[in-house]
Amino acid sequence: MIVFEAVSFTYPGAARPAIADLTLTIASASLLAVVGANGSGKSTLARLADGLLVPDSGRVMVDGIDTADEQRCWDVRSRVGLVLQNPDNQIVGTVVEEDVAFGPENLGVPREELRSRVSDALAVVGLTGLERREPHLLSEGQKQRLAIAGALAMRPEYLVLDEPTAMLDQRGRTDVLGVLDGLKLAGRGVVHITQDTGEAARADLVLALDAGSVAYLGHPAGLLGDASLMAELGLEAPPIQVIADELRRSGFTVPEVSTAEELVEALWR
Amino acid sequence: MALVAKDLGYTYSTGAPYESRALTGVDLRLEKGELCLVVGSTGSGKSTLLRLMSGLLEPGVGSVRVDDAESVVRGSVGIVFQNPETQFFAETVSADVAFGPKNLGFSDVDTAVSDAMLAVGLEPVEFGERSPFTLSGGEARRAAIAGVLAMRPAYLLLDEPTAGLDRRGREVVVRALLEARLKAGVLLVTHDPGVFLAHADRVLVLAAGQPVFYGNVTDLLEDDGAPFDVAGLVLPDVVRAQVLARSRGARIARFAFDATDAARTLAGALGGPS
Ligand SMILES: Nc1ncnc2c1ncn2[C@@H]1O[C@H](COP(=O)(O)OP(=O)(O)OP(=O)(O)O)[C@@H](O)[C@H]1O
Ligand SMILES: Nc1ncnc2c1ncn2[C@@H]1O[C@H](COP(=O)(O)OP(=O)(O)OP(=O)(O)O)[C@@H](O)[C@H]1O
Ligand SMILES: [Mg+2]
Ligand SMILES: [Mg+2]
Repeated sequence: MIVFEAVSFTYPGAARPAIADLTLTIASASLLAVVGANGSGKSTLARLADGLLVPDSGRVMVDGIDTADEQRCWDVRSRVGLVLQNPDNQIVGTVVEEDVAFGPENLGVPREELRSRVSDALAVVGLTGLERREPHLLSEGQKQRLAIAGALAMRPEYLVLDEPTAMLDQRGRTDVLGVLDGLKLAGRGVVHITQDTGEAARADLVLALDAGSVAYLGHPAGLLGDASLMAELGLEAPPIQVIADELRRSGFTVPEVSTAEELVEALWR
Repeated sequence: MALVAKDLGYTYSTGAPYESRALTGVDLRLEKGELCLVVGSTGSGKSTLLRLMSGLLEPGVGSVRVDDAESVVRGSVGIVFQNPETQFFAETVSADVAFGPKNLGFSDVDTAVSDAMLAVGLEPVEFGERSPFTLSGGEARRAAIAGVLAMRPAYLLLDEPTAGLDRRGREVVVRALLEARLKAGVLLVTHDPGVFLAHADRVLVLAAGQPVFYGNVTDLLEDDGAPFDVAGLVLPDVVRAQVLARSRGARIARFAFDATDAARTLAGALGGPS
């Protein structure tokens, strides 16, 4: 488990805390979505989860290890994989395969296994064939996939992904969502930060942040079904849900649907 | 007067083992007052096209002309990069946004800066003195857009301007771009064409660096958006719902692009609650 205990964090010189008195448990074998307006603290929460930032007050415990304990910094980093919002900030290798190998190599993974981990991770994100390419010569979507591959290759207990689908096309998004589901089924704790409430709806739990504080923590349906809370938090309902709600308001009977296929199937049978 | 690409092509690292042909045979014409969308899957050449159109890259094949001039004229074409952080250099957001208008000799730099920041929903008082490098992802994208809006270029090129923006951020940026279009030509790359389809004059669909469609939105959707399929793309949910309904016999003459309007269109096709 990753446990946030009454965590607050203020950036040096900032007028207000980026995270304020946040208490949260991130469990294994679960998918937690994090949503919230720009500047609400999502990326800060991600950086606190793997010890990149440490709380000003309160504490973050990763499987019982305090992230503020400098001696255990590597124990924390090896347990918590982080995919940053800007993949450029994560590139370490001079070519793609070295970049992906960097994390597991540092964990002491033996050569043979290293090779298979790298090729597996690249295959999962669809970058096979680009092994020898310099990372800065990739398109932005390719860089985003590379950052995901790097985190996957570490096979961490927990994976925190900061808007991993923002630069991807729809097929790429669907692929990544499938990868996240797979990680959860394999027992990992997954945190998925997103602006897309349709993506958040697929999670076990959703956390909505508002100015660094918890505005909602619970089942996705409880948030997505609360139009006034959604509006208050600057969140947009998924378009298919909007269409279904509008049709219900006009007197049509529409079951719960989340895709265009389901909606049309329900209306034109 | 227009920004015009003729038979545009580009190959990265020519001669190197990792030579990659990023763009081939693109013809495009952007007049002032027009909005053109560019869509395509990951690595299909969209950013390469914007770099060429802005004069950041020299065409390998073909040409780019601005208002009939031989090369891109300084200040006439503004570009917002896909990764906004690569765009910043000044110590504060307001200095960063002011750089362009100052350099172009504007007499109303302060107004240009605060107008541009307000247009993207960044309060000058709150964000003006911040370092652009400490902004959150969405704040950074808005600041980068403000920097280019402040220059009031005749042609505005934007790479994923709404990615990572929250609801209000998307609304204000869309509004700001539509307002800029009153005077400028806007060329916009996006994985989320949804909101823009209602306003676009033309759409270019790229697949592996090649144009597979270039025309207006009506033609794009005529054959159930076939060019999207060819390019490995998926239509936005709002449009796809209507395409699917039509394939099941629903009578839909015109597609709606907004979810609320789409509900009305579908309700009309259903002919009232049963
Ligand atoms: N290094 C920093 N110094 C000062 N303030 C910062 C710094 N980094 C972030 N902030 C501020 O802290 C707040 C939270 O930022 P954070 O990056 O966590 O937001 P976010 O929810 O990820 O936003 P976005 O959706 O835009 O990515 C924002 O108001 C941001 O401007
Ligand atoms: N500097 C470079 N050197 C070599 N190849 C490059 C370079 N920049 C981009 N490429 C390659 O050219 C192709 C087109 O890249 P481009 O960045 O234009 O794609 P894109 O359509 O913008 O993709 P995305 O949606 O991921 O941003 C990709 O295969 C990419 O790997
Ligand atoms: Mg963020
Ligand atoms: Mg790109």
